[in-house]
Amino acid sequence: MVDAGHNRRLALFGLARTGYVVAISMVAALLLAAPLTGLGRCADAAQTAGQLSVPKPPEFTAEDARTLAAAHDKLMEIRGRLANEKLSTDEATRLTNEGVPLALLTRSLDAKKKAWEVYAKAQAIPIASDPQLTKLYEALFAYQKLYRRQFRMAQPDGTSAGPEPMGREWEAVADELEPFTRLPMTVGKKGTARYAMRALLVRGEALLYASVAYYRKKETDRQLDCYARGCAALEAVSRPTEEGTPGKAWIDREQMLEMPEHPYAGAEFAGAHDPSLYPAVRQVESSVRARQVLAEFCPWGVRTYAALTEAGIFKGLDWRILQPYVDADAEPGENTSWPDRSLLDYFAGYGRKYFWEHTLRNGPSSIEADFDAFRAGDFEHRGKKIRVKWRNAPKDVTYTVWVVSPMMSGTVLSDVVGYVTDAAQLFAEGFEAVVIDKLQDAAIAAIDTESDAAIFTSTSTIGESETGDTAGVTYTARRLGAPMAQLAKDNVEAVLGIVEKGEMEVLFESIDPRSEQVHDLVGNPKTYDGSVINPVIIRAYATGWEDTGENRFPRQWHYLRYYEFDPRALSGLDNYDLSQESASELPGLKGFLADEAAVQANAWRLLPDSPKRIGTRMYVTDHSPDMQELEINVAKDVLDEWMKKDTRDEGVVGVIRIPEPYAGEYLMGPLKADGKVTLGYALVNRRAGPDAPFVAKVAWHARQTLPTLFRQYQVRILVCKKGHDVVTGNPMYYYNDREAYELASFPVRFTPTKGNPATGKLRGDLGGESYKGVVVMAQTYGAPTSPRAAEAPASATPMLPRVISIDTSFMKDGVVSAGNSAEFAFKAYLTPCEPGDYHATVQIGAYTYHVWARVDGHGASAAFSATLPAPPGRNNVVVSCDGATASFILERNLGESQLDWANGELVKAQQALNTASDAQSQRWAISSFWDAHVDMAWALVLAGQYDQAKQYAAAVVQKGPPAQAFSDNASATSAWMGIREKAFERLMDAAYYSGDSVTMGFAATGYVKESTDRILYENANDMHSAAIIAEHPLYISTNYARAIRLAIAAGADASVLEQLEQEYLSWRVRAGFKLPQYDNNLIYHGPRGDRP
Amino acid sequence: MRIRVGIALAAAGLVLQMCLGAAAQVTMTITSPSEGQTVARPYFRARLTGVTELVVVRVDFAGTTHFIMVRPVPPDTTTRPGQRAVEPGADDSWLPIVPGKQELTASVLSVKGKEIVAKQRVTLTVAPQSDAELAQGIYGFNKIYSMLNGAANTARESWANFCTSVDAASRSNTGESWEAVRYQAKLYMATRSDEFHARTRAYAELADIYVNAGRPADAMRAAEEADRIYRAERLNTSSGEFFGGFPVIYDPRPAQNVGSPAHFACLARLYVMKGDLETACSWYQKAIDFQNAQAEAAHLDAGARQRCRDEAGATYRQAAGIVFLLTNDMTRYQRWIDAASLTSAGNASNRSGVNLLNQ
Repeated sequence: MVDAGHNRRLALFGLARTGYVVAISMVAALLLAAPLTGLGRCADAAQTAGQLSVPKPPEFTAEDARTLAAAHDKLMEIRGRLANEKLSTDEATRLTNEGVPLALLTRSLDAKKKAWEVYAKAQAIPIASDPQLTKLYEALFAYQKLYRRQFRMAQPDGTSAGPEPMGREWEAVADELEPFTRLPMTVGKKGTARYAMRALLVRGEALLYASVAYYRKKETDRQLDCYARGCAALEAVSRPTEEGTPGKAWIDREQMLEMPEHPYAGAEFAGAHDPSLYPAVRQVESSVRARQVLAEFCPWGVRTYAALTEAGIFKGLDWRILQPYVDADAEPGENTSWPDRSLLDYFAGYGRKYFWEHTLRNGPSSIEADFDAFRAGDFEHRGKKIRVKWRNAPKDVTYTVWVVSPMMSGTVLSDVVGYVTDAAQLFAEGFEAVVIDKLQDAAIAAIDTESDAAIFTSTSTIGESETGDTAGVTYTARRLGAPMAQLAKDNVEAVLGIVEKGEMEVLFESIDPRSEQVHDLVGNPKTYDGSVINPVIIRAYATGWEDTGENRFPRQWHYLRYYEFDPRALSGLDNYDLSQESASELPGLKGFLADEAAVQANAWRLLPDSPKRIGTRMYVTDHSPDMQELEINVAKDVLDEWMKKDTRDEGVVGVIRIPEPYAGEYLMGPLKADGKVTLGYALVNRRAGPDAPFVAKVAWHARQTLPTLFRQYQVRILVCKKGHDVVTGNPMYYYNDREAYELASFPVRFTPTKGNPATGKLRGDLGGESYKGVVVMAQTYGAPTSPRAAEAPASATPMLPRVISIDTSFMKDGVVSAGNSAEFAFKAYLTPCEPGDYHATVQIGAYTYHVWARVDGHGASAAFSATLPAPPGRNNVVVSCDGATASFILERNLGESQLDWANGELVKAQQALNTASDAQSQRWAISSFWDAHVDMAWALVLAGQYDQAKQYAAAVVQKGPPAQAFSDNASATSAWMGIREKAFERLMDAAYYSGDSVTMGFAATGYVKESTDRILYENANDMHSAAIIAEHPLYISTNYARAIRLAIAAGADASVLEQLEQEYLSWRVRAGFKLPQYDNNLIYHGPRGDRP
Repeated sequence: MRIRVGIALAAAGLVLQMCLGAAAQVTMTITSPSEGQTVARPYFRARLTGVTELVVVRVDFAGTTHFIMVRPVPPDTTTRPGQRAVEPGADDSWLPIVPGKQELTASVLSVKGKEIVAKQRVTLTVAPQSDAELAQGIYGFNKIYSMLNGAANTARESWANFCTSVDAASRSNTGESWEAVRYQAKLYMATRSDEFHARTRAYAELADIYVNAGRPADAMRAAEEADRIYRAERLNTSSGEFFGGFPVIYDPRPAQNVGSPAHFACLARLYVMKGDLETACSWYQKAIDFQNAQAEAAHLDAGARQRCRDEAGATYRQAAGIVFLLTNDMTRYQRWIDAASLTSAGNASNRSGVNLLNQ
């Protein structure tokens, strides 16, 4: 509801909501034209002077004079005796008792005499005899009495001041004076302009004092009404005009009243009422006095004040910033001392304020538009382009009005500045109180911590920044255990407090009367008495939360711009100096109240950033701590297991993985099995600097400085190669080597988020000392996260017992059948195995054979695979390896025996040898005879008679002719060499089947030698085609391969095998194999160096 | 006016009745374990009826609390229009194995009203199997030996084939033959990888055997053995490229999916049984990262690549269920489910997929 009083006040200021242009002229007419027209009407009446009616005091008679003289003489005598004579006590008492009534009498008669003399003197002064003027003087006298009561001065008649006047008493006086304000504005010796002016002046003052009285009684409407009328009256006096020439030559036209010659006449001497000063003071012009009063009551200019009030800028003005409204008797409230009170309030005292701030609901449109770029996250600051991706974009701009009291002086300022370094809060109702509710919800969302969970956040605010990441930090640390909503509120308060503190620079510049930067901007406006008008400033503030991703701590951007009110924009004056110019018209008012951007842009000027940066300021609040100290402990059983891997060449270390955008892994250091903490590590925020006191506290372990810290990291425990520094001998860990492998990987979360608690126990102290901005987390790895019922412990038995498994693909009912074949495919597995060479023995009947397997993998099977002899009949087979055994039955049919045939062939050969007559036939007979031995040996092998087979074969080798026996005939030589070769082969077979490793060595070596010699001999004697000759190394290598296979199974000596293998590989090279070692035929037989 | 208010109140009451009624009609029958049963490994299974909206079954057992999401089964519109095809069930195979007499309490909670709409309690005895029982049980170790032996045989034969091809090429020395060798070399590496993974799979299965025998500590030994093998040999199975700490395995056969170490998920399951969600999730994440690394292998065709991503996505979904199981946090559950979709679609924000390890 717009109350009638408000409209009336507006009308008085010429600022009614509608038709204000007309209203201005009407009010001007009301205030100025009314006295002038009144003067015209009363011109004649003013020619007859009247006598001022002064109340008559009791007459001081002659008798009174005599009594006074006698009493005075007697009193002097008593004083003389008391002072000069040596009196007894009783005498002195008697004299004193006698003197007291005389003293009272003397004082009383003196007062009576003085009052009578004043009266008599006043009666002697001829003043205006006009009854109307007499009434004027009576009204002025009434005003004076109120004034003396207001300021606690004794009344002219010697009585006490009396109670402080009430508003209605002041208004009554003002009403009494009102008719005189309409006296004709005539000048000259008998002119009445001076009376009209003085009546208007005193009426205005009375109304303003009425407003003060109503202010004390908290009758706001009446206060504002009287204030408006008083100001209007005084402004009219302050610039009197001759009729028809408004605003012209106004000072010179006013005539001063006569200098008063007695106290009563001082009634019209408004403003210098102290009788003790009389007559040292001089009379002043009413207009001058009016300007003095206005400078105190309305320093901004009456019209300008009204405009600012109507625009809401001055809404709720704290009147204590104006000297007349100061309540010297104000009692201290709840917060009685600094720093609970704002520093400025502290210096001002309880009843006054040097500074008033106030929040605007809506800001001027021009300022609002200035924040569009910031809202969009794409803006310029100090000439640099800044782009921010918002999580919570800045939505509302908060506007705060600063009004600096006219009482603020350089002296006050210097007092305040002396304390500023310690000042926590400069303002009583800092803007944080205003914006905190708005910001709290956004803060909760942005901080994104578990609702109602115990959290720990550290907040630091980066100082006034150009780019958003400079140093200059203030800290506030939050505590553990408070509800989230409270923490968020505390946090916002703390952050805003920091910003507020940073903004004191602007404030001081604003309140500094000597600040050219602030005052020059708006043309050094001056009030009615010529003194500087202190500034009216709007602070526009917006804040947004940057989208920093999930892992980073939130960042809050604060953007502040300061605008100063320029009264020239409304008044149209080039020089807003109310002591020289009249600001009765406000051409810019319409646009100002309609919030037109062009007018607002002129009315609110952005404070300059030079020489001091006070116009536009920016803060970035990084909610990351200064340091995160991590203390990892590992459960003993886990740690014991890990530390087994800590050897001279390998170390167990921790590495920490830093999230984007500073992704990387850093070595935390080796794990300590015996330390209080297994793994300590610190992450230091770069802005804290290397000399921060808490950094020294963590010198016992490694640390990493990062451009910013994160909510959580990933820690990995690795086993990696360990080297040693050649100079210091200190270990060096190759943690990023390919060979490094992971033992564990787990997150470390310092800041809980919804549903994700911190991974360890958080605290704020470091070595017993607490540091703001430091978070310490003790985390244990390997311990159960919650109390649970115990599981059964691991059993002592092997997890997977080691067994030999026989390949059952050739098995039927537990029996492997070799059929008629003398050999069978053997396949078995030993499981599980670690990498290495595995040797299994295969006991088949009475014979033992050997198989080998190489294992490359961990926890794997050793796969034994070989072709092994199958002795005729049913044989029990037992496979053994590393204490494990397995068995099965092997069956082989004897098949058709070749023994009879072989025996017959042998008999026939013996007969042929016996009957051979010539050398030629004898040569053939010898060959056939030994060849029959070879056949016999093979028949015996097949029959399972391995010892006899060895004898037959060995006889050929030992008793037969030497290889060169038939050197005269290439064909015969070749044939004989072939027989010897076969004899060695049969001997080798017999050794193989019987598992005879000793014979095998001899036989296998002999076999490969004989066969090689034969092939080379045949080639040398052109007994083969060129193609076959070319392939001879391949044939030779094939023979080697067979010899090696049999030798392995028989368990031949390693040196034999080594020798055979070397020769074999060399023949493979000669056969054309570029990579001879890749040979599937090369059967494995135990360790022999690295295979590819 | 009065009539309107009455109607509104009646309507509101109806809605309220519907909401409450839907939850109130739910019944639950615990089918495993049965009352008084002696088991080596506790396993919770229940049949629910009357579920018309999402409910949560809360299982309290041996000091732990698990949450199982149960959704209503949509009407079977193909065969029996308007009827529900199968009643929803609740499964929990992650219960801790704590020997002795135990009590299991299952409660059905309505998600909307957060009220208990059904509750049942059973007692059971948990008795782990001895070594002898284990050896006699149907879950013998033969399968494990067979897997390991088969793997060893595969490796051996693969080496033989490789040697044969090298032998041939090294003698003929033609470009073609060397090309064949290169192919065989890759094939050999891939086969070695298969063998390697088969071994980790074997120990993971061994862990399952122990879990089923009610011996989680032994199961952990087996799973850790698998991981030991993995750590020791992961470098040998690669053709040289690594990503995210995982070997990228190149199989020369474009449509061939590379194997994956089964013990990642196995360890994850075991840590779930321990109630250690962080560690469990880290193992799931490893399995996911591994698959995503393999999806980068240049040789793969689109189908194989997609299968890798699908497997990663499936693991995300598996982890999602576990996250809910231990936290009853729908938001976290949904994050893992979302990640599954992203990964399957190949839209993960980085090469290694979406990392939710700490969420």
